[in-house]
Amino acid sequence: MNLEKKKDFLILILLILTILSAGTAIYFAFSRESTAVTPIEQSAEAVTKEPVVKNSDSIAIPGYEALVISKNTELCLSNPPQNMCYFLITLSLEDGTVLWQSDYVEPGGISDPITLNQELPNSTYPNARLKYSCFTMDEALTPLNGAETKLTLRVQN
Amino acid sequence: MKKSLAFLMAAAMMTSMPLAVCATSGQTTLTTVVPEASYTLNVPANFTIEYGATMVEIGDVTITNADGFSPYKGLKLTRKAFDHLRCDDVDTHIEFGIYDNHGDTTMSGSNREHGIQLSGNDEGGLTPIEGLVGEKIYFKLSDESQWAKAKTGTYTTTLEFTTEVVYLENE
Repeated sequence: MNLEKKKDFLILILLILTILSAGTAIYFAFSRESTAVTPIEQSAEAVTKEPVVKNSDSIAIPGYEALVISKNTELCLSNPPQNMCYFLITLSLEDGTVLWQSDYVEPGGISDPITLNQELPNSTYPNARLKYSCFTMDEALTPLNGAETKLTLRVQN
Repeated sequence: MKKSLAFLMAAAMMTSMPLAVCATSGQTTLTTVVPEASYTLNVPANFTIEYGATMVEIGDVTITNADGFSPYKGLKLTRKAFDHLRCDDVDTHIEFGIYDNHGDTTMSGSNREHGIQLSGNDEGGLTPIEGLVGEKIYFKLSDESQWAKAKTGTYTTTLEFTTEVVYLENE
């Protein structure tokens, strides 16, 4: 092999090594991010196809330890199908600042995705409130018994 | 030209190598997710009190579908303060209390709140108290003269319950 061919061979090896090392570096650099902790999914309850037994005596109200609000995921809240009332759901901070309120959510339905009415810095907000006001499903919309759950609100923009 | 190209490639390789080495430096990240608790609170929808009643069972306030609890993580269930029975058309009201099967009474118009604390168990659920994951509540008239003093009309009020996941220490 003459000198010129040796040079070409060396350049080819260098080229392959460069591509391989760059590719490996990029793979590892980006794969670290992709293995980050996946947020706990908080989607609306799956709609069951089984027959639902309606319960007019009781109201079922979902409760959570925490809610995660993120720009990357849509979070909706549900009204269990066995209920016979509308939900009006209000999310507020510990000091009473209202962040979001749903429309009337019918049984078996879900709210629109939660969109906060103000920008909140990425942080954890303990003792946030999720208030469920319940109403009869007629024109009178008579208030029924309701509930308020204290939870931890995590904002991750 | 070839020398320059070879030099550039070598430089590119040398700059990318440390990045790869750094990314595979033998560090191991251990990750685990402790599940957050979820549950369903079941409250009586509404209840009609017969005229003249002094004490009557309203129903059960229960927790179902409890998940993600542990012996160190439980649930506090509280009756919030509530107003007297009122009627839109008249100026009288009826004072009453909500009595539970644990012996606590919350009076209407009072700021006092009562509640119970349910402990979690090893299966991720909540441990019943006296056979019930929750409480049984009763309407209890404050005194019998309340009916006599009330003007004619339909009186209503609403009850509200509060739940909160709590961490239990030294259990």
